[in-house]
Amino acid sequence: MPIRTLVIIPAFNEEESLPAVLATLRTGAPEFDVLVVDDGSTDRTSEVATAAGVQLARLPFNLGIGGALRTGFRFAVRNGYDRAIQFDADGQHDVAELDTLLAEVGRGADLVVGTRFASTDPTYRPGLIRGGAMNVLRLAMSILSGRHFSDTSSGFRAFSRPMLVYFAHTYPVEYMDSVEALLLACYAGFTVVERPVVMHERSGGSPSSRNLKLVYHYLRLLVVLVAMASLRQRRGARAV
Amino acid sequence: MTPRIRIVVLAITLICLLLIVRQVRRREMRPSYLLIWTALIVVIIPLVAFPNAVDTVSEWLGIYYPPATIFLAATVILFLISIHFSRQITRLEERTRILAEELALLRSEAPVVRGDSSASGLPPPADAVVGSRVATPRA
Repeated sequence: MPIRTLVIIPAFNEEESLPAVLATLRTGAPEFDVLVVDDGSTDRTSEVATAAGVQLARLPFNLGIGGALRTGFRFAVRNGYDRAIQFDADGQHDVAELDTLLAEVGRGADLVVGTRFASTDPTYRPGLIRGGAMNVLRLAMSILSGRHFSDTSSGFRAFSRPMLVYFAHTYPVEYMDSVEALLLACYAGFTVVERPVVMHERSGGSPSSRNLKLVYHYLRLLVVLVAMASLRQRRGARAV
Repeated sequence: MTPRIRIVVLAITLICLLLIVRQVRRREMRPSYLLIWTALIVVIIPLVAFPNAVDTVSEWLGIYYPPATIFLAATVILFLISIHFSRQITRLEERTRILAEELALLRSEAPVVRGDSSASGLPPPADAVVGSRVATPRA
């Protein structure tokens, strides 16, 4: 039986950029099934997906990227997919890199993160404050997980079947989900790998972050990460 | 404590109790909340009858200003109740999320069931998808 791969595209009001993304997937990776998770869009995102002939899961209201992803994971698990890839609806990710990530899953990795910092593409440069905040986060992550991650917030990721099964119920649903998910996967004993990939400028939509909200979520995330680490230590102590 | 203020406090307490009982009877509030709020009222009524009890408790706790004891007790109780509600809201939100996700998955399955009997997990024919969208209320 051939290995079945699902490309999960969480989309919130992406009618402008989605058609091009779906077109590149159709020509660049025709062997993969595509699922668009419409995260309560108010524009024609669903219609665009339907017109392109891809599978569509339409949420009744906006759950945020984490909720949309979890929906995608459940879909993949229930429909018997062997692996899945998270792909952006705004054209940031390159279809040519799908195989880079999936090759790692083939080698036994459970979660493969496509990192942009290690990328050969010189066009991506984060701002000073954003860069600093990401450094703090990276430091916290390396202390808590005992590993080094160069890009914790990447949304270009591949998942093995066991990872999908685990995330179908545990995937963090709040903003900056990817950082939490990384630590969750490490703690649960999954094999997590990073691979450098080329990323594009986003072709449509707006960055999903406003400053004050970002600060709140950033602080919340630090608390959550420390809480996860402390819980895990207690659980570990009990198991011994 | 003058008799007048005792009557006022008693009246307010009883009115609150009546409001709560009425809401439970109309099924606007779950009976378990009736328990929380009546328990509070049951504590307040003896205080109206024996206001000196507050002085005695304050002295025992080492609080010089007896009304502060009442404020402290009220703060602690309200704090605990809001923690309880935060937990409830968290649980409800998680359940709502799961329901929304399941609804999205059901919607995605519907065209396959109706239009494509092979149910292979492949994308359903475009006309079947269009057909199901007509049937959904939002389309």
